[in-house]
Amino acid sequence: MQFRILAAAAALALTAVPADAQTRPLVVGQGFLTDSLDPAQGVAGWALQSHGVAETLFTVDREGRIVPNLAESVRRDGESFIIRLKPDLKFADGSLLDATALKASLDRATKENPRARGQIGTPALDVLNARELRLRPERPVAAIESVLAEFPLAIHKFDGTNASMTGPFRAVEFKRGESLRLEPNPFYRDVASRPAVTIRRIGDAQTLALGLESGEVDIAFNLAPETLPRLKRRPELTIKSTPVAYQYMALLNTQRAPFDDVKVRQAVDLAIDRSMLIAAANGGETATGMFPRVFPFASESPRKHDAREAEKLLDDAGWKAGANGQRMKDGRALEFTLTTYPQRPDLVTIAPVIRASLERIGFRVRIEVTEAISPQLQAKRYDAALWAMHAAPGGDGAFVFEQYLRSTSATNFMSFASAPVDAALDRLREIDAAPARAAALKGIEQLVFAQAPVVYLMTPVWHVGLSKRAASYVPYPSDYYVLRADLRASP
Amino acid sequence: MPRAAIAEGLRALLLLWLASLAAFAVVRAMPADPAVLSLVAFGQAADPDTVAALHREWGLDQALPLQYAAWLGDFLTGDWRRSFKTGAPILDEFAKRLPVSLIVGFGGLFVALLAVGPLARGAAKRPNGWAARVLDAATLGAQAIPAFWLGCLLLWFFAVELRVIDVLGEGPARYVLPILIVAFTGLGPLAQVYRAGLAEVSRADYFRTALAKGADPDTALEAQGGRYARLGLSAALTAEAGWVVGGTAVVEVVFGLPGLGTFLVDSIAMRDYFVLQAYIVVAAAWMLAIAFVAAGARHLLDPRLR
Repeated sequence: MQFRILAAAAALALTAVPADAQTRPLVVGQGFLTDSLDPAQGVAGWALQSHGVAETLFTVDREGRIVPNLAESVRRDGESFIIRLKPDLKFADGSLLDATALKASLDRATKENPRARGQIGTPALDVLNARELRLRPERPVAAIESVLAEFPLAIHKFDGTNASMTGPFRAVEFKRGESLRLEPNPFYRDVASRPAVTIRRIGDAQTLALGLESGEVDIAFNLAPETLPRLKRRPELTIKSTPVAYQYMALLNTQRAPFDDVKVRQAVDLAIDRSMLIAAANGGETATGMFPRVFPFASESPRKHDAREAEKLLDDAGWKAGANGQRMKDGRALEFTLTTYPQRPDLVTIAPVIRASLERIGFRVRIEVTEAISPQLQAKRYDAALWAMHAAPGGDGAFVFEQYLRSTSATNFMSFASAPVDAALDRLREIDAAPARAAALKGIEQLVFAQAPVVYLMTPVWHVGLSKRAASYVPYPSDYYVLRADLRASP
Repeated sequence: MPRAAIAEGLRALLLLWLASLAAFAVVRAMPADPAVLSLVAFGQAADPDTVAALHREWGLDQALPLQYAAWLGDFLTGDWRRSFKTGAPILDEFAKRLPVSLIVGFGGLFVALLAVGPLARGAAKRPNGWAARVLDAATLGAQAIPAFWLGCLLLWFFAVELRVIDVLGEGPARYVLPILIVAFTGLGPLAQVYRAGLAEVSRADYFRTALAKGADPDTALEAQGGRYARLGLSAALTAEAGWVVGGTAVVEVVFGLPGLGTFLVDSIAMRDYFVLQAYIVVAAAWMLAIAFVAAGARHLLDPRLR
């Protein structure tokens, strides 16, 4: 009897046959899914923008430039800005997106979401005509285009129950934590050429690869490097890899030995062989600084690798190598813990390679993998930590410097304090023009290089697996725009 | 009897109140500020104004005793607050996710129990027979093979190689492999306990006497030792059932099941205070319920307790 029940359970498993691949919508597998269909709630605006449902007034293009999106232009008018909308814009419910609707959207976003208020406070908004709105931020804003590209200001119309947005897709069915079914927005250009899409949240990297192999997933976003050799052997699949706007780096806690000594930090910067990191991660580019090369304000020269110079710096700092190669000073070994986290598998992969580079010049390095790195960083309970972040989410580089390197910032995890850097950031707040801002950012970058509170490692490539139906998909260099208007499906 | 029941009830309420206090204290003692974490995770400015605004929105700007009192009051009246991360009512999330975890957890234990009897009886009768070998291998395998690895292997075999199931399956079929994995991990400990109980009885004088009187070994073992072995099994089952709430996270992640485990993992990383506090209280209530049921089972199985 008991075995019969077991057999019945197994038979139940065999009844689930894959759906017809020709009739189903394109299935996108990825690790994240919106928590809400209201872009004014929490961080839903970010996910909805990534899903191709929400849009902002400005956006960041493939080259990392901020470009108009729903807005045609924005111009300064004293302490205010005049936003001019593109003509004939519509929400997914067919209603017009005019200046009055734009005002309602910005009003609601800043009222409902503290993150939106973090961008422009509670602004004064005046409708000038059908296409123009005057926006006066509560506090001074330099790079307004960048602010208007931020997800908390996603444009939407709320009818008291549902939010309607302007992206190329609109939501049809939402299962929180599981899936989101989308159909082409009928009021967006080229509606007939876009397929229906189902986004499935798949939290495990191996499951994502298996879903692609089994034919259930058409676009597998951000595949783990270790799955690539297996997937590349399947002729029906295409793997596309693209450098992204994220940067991998090592944060050094300047309040803790040995990284309270700038020479030790500089030695780490010089000692790491980035080409080995790239080999281990199955692709990528040597970092030139805080920003991936896609951005116009990125530094040009790759970070230098010179182990001999690194050794000299350590000698100068008083860390002398013993017979076994281990460096000591005043009876203390040159050692630290390198913390990393599994949510970015690449970082776990490259940690031993970093250790090898550093142990070659006399460091002793312990590797620690933690499930929740952010709390550890915030509590500053670490020596050195590997970290991945989008370097310019709004298309402007000032943001990360302000957040990570200003001495008073809550997210200055390195406890880095530099008066010249703070002063340079103050000056940057007064600069509007993009070329001048780029030059200023590069200047700040040089100041940071000299102090090395952060060791920039590499710009990763992300791997997207595609079925035959989705083979024309072109990955964007970030996860901010996974689904876009150019999505097509082959028959 | 009513007095004893009232005393037990009061004791349970006291334990739950202590659990709520411990939940609040432990969660709030965790390093890091959820507002800053939430902003950093999505590349936003953690400036003091925005952090303060989030604190106000989440009610974290009050003194801790006031926060505790307000939270407990809301919790008892059914308002479990909203998740910092998802913005959704926590009670709704629990109501939706708990059944998923219970199906996987209890489904696994049920399937394991189906196999416990035959394997344990076979192993008790013939310590070197096939049942004993299978049981030892299952016990060792459950300890040595990580659930996520086993899950990926099964998915690869059934979904990719044989293509008889969906990786992203819908409906009841999606629960089959997760349940089998939980059953696999639970089978060894449960069957070993049952086997030990039967083996102990099989060495007892009264059992040998029964055999000497001509009783059938299988029937005699069940008749003489079944109740005793099930008593031990109920204790082991209590321990296994205790972690059903939230303990199936690995399987849920691999198979993409929206259960309580995955919600909990995300919530820990984001310091989602109200989710974690609610979970600890629910887990405590669950353990009390399981202990209550187990006590009832022991009462039925052990005549000495009556």
